[in-house]
Amino acid sequence: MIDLQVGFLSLILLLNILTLGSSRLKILIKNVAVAGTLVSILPLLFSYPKIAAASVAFAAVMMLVKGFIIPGLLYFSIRKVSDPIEQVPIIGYHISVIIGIVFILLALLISSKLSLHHLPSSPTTLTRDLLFATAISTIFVGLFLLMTRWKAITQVLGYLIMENGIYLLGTIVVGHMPYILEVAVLLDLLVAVMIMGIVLLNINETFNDIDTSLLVARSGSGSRSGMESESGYSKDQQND
Amino acid sequence: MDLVFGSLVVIFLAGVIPIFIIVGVGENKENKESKESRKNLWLKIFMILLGVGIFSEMLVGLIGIFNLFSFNLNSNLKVTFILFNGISMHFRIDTLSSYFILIISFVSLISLIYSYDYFFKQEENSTSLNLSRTLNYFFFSVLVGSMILVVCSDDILSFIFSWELMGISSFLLIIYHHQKEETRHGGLYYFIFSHIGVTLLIFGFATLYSYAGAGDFSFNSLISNCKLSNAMKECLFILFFVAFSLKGGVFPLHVWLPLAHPVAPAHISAILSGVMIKMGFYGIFRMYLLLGPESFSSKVGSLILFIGIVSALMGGLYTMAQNNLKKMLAYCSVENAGIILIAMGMGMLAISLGNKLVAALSFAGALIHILNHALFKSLLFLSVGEIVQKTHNDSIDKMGGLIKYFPYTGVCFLIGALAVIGVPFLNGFIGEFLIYNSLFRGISFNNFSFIISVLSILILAFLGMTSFMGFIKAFSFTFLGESRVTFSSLSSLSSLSSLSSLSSLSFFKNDRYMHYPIMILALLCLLIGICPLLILKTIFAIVDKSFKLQSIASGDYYTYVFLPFRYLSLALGIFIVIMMIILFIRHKLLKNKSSNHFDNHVDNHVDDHNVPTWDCGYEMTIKEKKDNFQACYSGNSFSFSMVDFLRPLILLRENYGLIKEFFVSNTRYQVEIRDLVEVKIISKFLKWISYLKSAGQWIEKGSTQMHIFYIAISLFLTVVGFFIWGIHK
Amino acid sequence: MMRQLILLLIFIIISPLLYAIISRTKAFLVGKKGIPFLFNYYTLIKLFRKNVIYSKTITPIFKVAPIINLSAILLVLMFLPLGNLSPLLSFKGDVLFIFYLLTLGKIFMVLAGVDTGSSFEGMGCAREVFFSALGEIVLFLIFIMFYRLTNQLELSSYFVEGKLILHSKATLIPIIFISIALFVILLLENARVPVDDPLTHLELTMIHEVMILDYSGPDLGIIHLTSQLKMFFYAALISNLLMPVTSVMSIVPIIPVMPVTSGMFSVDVILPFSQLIVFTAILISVYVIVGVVESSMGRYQLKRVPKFVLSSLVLVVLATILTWRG
Repeated sequence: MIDLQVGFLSLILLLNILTLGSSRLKILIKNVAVAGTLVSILPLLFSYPKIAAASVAFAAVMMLVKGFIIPGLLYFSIRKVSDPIEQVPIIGYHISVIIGIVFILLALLISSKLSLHHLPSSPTTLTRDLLFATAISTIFVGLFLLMTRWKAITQVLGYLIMENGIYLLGTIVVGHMPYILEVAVLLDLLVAVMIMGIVLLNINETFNDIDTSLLVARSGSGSRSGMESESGYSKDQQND
Repeated sequence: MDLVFGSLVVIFLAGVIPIFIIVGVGENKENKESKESRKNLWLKIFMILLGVGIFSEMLVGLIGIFNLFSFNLNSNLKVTFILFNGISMHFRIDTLSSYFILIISFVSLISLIYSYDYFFKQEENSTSLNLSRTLNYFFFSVLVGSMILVVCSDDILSFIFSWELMGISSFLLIIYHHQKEETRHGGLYYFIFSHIGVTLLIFGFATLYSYAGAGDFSFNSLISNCKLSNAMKECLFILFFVAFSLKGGVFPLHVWLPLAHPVAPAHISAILSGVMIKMGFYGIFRMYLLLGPESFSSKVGSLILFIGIVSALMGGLYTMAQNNLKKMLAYCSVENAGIILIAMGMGMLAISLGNKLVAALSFAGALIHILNHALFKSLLFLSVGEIVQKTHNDSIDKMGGLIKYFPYTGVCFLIGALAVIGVPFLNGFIGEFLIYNSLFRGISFNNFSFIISVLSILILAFLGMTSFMGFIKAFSFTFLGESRVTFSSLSSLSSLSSLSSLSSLSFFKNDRYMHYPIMILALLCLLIGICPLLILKTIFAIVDKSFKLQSIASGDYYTYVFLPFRYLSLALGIFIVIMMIILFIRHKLLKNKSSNHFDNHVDNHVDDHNVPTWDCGYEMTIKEKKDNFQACYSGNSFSFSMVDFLRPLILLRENYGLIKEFFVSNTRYQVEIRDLVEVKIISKFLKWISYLKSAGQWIEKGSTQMHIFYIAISLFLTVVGFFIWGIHK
Repeated sequence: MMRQLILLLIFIIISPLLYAIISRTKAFLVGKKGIPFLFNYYTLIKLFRKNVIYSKTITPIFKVAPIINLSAILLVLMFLPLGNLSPLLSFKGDVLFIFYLLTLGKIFMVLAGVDTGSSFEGMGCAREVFFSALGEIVLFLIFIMFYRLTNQLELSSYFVEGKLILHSKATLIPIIFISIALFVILLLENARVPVDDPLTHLELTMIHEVMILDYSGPDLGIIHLTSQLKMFFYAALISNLLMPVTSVMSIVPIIPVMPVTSGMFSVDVILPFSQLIVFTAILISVYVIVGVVESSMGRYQLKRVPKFVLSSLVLVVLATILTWRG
């Protein structure tokens, strides 16, 4: 009755859209942590009758890294930040959620045009399409977050979401990736996040804020001009 | 057919009478009684004649519709006028035309009756028939006649002739108050857009003719000899669609609507919004039937559906955001144009996918919505016209509590507003029900067109609520609540307070020609809503005959259309019964109670209103300080949360004084709602044109001699050119 | 037919009792005893015995509005299937009729609100319209999904014989999502806590309460009854949706059917009776969950309510995607 695969995939989709809609940094980190956990367990579900011990171990390691270590690092770097709430992004929250829905529909469209026959043990076309759609929409959502948010932390989270999506895509295309490759991807992810964390700390110390629009101002190409809309409202009044 | 042309002749002749009045009898410079009475006599003759002409046109429409039920009252349905040398004008009446003739003539008749009081009870030059009014009536008859001609024409020449006539006469009608700047501005926009439409029309017809080879201009020969491929036909149809939607006020090309309709006199706005916009849809229908329903792919239907969605959504948003009564009604026309396009697009989509039931439902929904919109839009415009005329302003922020002075007009406005929202038991629901039905069935299409059906259902649902907000805001802040302006500053209302005895007699005696049409329209709205089956059978017969969908078994209609509407009437009956029971119980409960009075009145009515509104105590304090009641919700505040939610689509310009000190004496806040297309697109477009103009400024220096020089040069060059060409040949 | 009418009357009479369950739950969670179960009946009787006061500014619309609202709700309840029994009235396309009738009731309440000329009521009315607009979109999307599954637009055809679950391709997850979304709509339309606090009377927090500030006496009694019936309607929709699930999953043991074909204990009587018990059980649990949610959340800032409704929209979209092609 309850299709676990479908349930997990829908939860991942839900989490993505919730990430698009929330403005508090701690909740964003929690969302990404849960999504990372789900993504790492997902390949186990898809290869259900034959689960190798190695893949269980690998899933556990991945869950540890994606669900605990990386979010923990990000929590640590947030503690020093002055303002734990995101500013109003370039594209507002409501529109972001609707665009997220549109992304999911687009991804479904793409996946129904492609024909993926060689996915291991996905019983229905629905699950196959949904998996592909989840992967592609996660990548879109990650890119979208990278593009439209001001704070550096959210951009890091967008990168993490994109990594989730790429990992899912990898699960589809090959039945299971060779272990060396998976370990390499994981290491790459870890190192990238560490570097981003260090850069973040430095930005915070220099500016006392991790707002990337300040970087834009420094380079002289106009600061926060995108926030002035036709309405003549000042930015402070739009804090959510 | 003779009846049509007979009544058309009557209409046009009647239009000449006002000219005769002014020329023969003279303008009212001095107050001469005999001239007054003679003019009034001729005026009455004119109106009666015009009314008779229009009424007989209405009979024509009815005859055409009765013919569907095989009464066969009129066998002569085509007429050809031969002008000269093989150029002839063809006219024909078929069921679609007679339906539109019925709508046109009914609304025009109502507006005509209304205009008698509207024009002649104004304050300045009140009872005289001056030049502006004369010309207004003349062009009124020309307008009505030309609209009927448009609907009857079967020929490129007659179509474009009557279309142009319609455009020009409506322009001249709009600029009645030409002394005001905004009237001229609106009229100019309307004129330009109308002529762009005509240009595109001529272009399309010319293309069509050039591909038809031999044959005359008539539509039949164009189609039978047409050598265009299906794809070309689709492109040509899109061109015609753009041309007709300029007249119909569809979203990106709607800019003239909110500028032109508010500045015209009320009955002219009613005819423009209620009927002339429908001429655009008539043109789309006609071109669709002409270029072949079977040869179109699903792209055309999807495109029209999509444009309908955009237009309906944007129109709905702007309706909700407006605070000017007439502008709100103009945007409401844009919204309803979108809804009609949604229905038509769905129908075309269904025909191209082969689903005849959905096509019948959607085209029937479109036709019914055309009728409903004509009825409730003219009702709204006429009642608003009376209010605006008597209170001399049209912004809802300055009105309030007017229902004490205009009780019946207020109720009729409420009925019109409820009909726009699409509430059951009124006529708006009927059209929406059919359209929803067809859209829901459209979800089952396996093409990707189901996405557009889903989107259109959601947008229609959202539109119901935005028109709820817009119209209830307009009704409440105009008629209900406290008045927002001191009435001493409005002299007309102080004269009205003498007749505010609220007796029904005064309503029916004063301004009765203004009030009767409004009430007739409101009653019709109620009637169609309560028992729609008469109209529905007619409309489905029209759809079957025109679109040749006769292959639907009547069983389908019965289950999906007639049975639900029978249940609807039953539900209304139950509703009224329940209401009566509850009213009765409440009456019994309150029967023996005495009234609560704070002022120690002597009378003992239970329902005595003598207590001020609680309002958390604000009302008493403010009322004591000043004469007027100003701390109340305004139109902007009411819709602000929704407008804020949808911000990038509605351009809002706010001016407010920033508060810098601690103890602020006064500050200001002003909100202005600007149209998205007008600001972003048209102004950029106009900027380019002005660049071009300033680039070419050096040619024209303005002196007469230079102009004559140019003429001479061009003449010379033409003559020399011809000689050289002749020699060369 | 008669059976359905009697059943409907019983449920109409019970709805104030059900409404008291919410307050009782909240009190229980805080450690108090709470109001007696029959409290709402006492309130109604007290109000019906009182006199009315009307303010100077109002028009007959003010007096007529609660009656129209109540009649609209009663008419809507005639279309509601209870358990697996078909409703009193149904026709194809009645879903549209029902929701537009609810809008009619709302229109008149909003008109009555602005009729008093009070700015607080104007504020409440504006918010009411705005939030209902968002709720309408979600509801229509739910019905689009139902239509896609069953090709019918009748409310009875979705729930009678559990067509949605048994005959269609829906699995449990979309049903869960839709129930959550319907629950959010219930909170929205009945002005419960995340959207509006029905207990406070401060102008900043009111949406529904503020519209009825100026009502008194029997009119106020009618309004209370209407809000209780409306809550019953939405809760009944959720119970109808969840009911076939429980029958199929056999969580609740169904009263064993005696193989007698006539008389009082015949199959015809017992089977619907047991389904009715299941229906009422789920209904009561919906009310309890409302009480629990109310105690555990604070009221959202008005700016966050659209996001709240958008989240339910996302749930419905996901459910639609999951059941689109099955």
